[in-house]
Amino acid sequence: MADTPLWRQPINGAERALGPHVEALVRSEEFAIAVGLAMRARKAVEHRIARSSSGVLHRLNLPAATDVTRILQEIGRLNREVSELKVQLSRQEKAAPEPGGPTKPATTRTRRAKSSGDDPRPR
Amino acid sequence: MATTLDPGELAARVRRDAERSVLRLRNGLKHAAGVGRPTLSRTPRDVVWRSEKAELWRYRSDDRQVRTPLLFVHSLVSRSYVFDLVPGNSVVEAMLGQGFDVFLVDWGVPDELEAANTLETYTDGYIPRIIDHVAELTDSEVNVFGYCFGGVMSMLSVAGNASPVRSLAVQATPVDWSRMGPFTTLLQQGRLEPDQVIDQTGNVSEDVMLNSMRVVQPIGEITQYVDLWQHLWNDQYVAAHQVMTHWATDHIPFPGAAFRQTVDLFARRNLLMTGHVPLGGRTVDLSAITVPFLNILGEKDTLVPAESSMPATGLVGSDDAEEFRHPAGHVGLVVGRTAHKKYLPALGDWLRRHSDPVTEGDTR
Repeated sequence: MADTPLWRQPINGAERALGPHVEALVRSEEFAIAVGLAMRARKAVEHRIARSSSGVLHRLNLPAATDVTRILQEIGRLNREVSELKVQLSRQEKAAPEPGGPTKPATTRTRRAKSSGDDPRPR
Repeated sequence: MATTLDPGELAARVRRDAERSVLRLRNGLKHAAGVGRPTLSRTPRDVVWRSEKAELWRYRSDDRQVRTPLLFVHSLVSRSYVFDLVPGNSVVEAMLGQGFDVFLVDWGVPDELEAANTLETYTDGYIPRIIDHVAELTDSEVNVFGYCFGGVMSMLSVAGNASPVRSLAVQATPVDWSRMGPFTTLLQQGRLEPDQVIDQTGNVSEDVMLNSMRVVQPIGEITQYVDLWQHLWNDQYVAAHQVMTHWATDHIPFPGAAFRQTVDLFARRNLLMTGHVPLGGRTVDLSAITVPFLNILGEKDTLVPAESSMPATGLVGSDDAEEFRHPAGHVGLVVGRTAHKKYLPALGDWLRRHSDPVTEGDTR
């Protein structure tokens, strides 16, 4: 291209030459193994640090980050349950007949999907 | 073939290069210091609904011509401000200009509180509630637009719930997960387990999300910096680069429970391709989507290749199902000059064909 500066041409050449090799590398078996190992190592180090630091804090009768995380996750679960209950309640309120008024249809929202026991949600 | 320059032309080129070098130095220093970054998300909006960290924003059109509102459902992996970057490069602004009232779902930044959010939290919880709320506010059915993973969630939500939806459009939405990038392949092949990438907060951290995108185009970042150096003299280019690189590296954590399901249901079992996804104790059937459906794909999309998005059109039960293919990448579908000149007007035309016009007396 006429507007491409001279200094850019060797870079473009290198990019064209190297690009496919680097892309092949990240799709290779070796890369997959390296990523797997790196992730495992990172997780192990994090776990070890968390365990030893929480051990020290617990001996001092202090809460560790893992305790706070667990409590926050529990609050999150409760929040969600409360939200779900609120939604169910408001649906029931909408569906319930008004005192002395005409009867409304039983449901305003229907599930179109088939029922199945295969619930993939983590317990 | 060697070319010769006449002395006048050579002098002009030298002068131009010298001027550009000065501008490069100035812009380079500004860029390094983070000075002059454009302010993002400037379109006026109201928060009209909130639940935990999720918020629904309403943008009102000054020249509303379409009664049926437009609801953008954003992905769980990036920030929603990509829809409203800067004036002149904002999807929200463009759709307001086309006469739509626009709503945008912002999921917030998940932390420990959202770690147990499942896909159902979004598809059967938030999204139907949000659609109901938009319908109530506007007294109209809703045009839903799902972007990227937001498209997956919108499809599952519309298929699994009887919501007041007028039409459904999805863009760059991964359906065939066997066509996704190296990170998905690692998870598919079991070389990586979800629990190995979920951190102590119970979520997949933003770093992992960012790196999973980086491996799709391993030398993309180097090319970006070389491009920046070449155009560093150009104020407009630098501003656009700052905005885009800021968004493209500004990921958010992915809720852990939803991630485990995503890996199991989509990456490993590729169930979206069968059209039947077990969620919330029942099987959601994508053919239950019978409203007009639009599938937008980017032919140059490397994050969600067109081959991965294409099958969506055939899986829904809509008689009116269309596909728009644009020669653009993942972000180029919504950001940039071509998106604003061609893709967003085409989207607006399609939506208008499936909407009601504003009539006299419409105040909502």
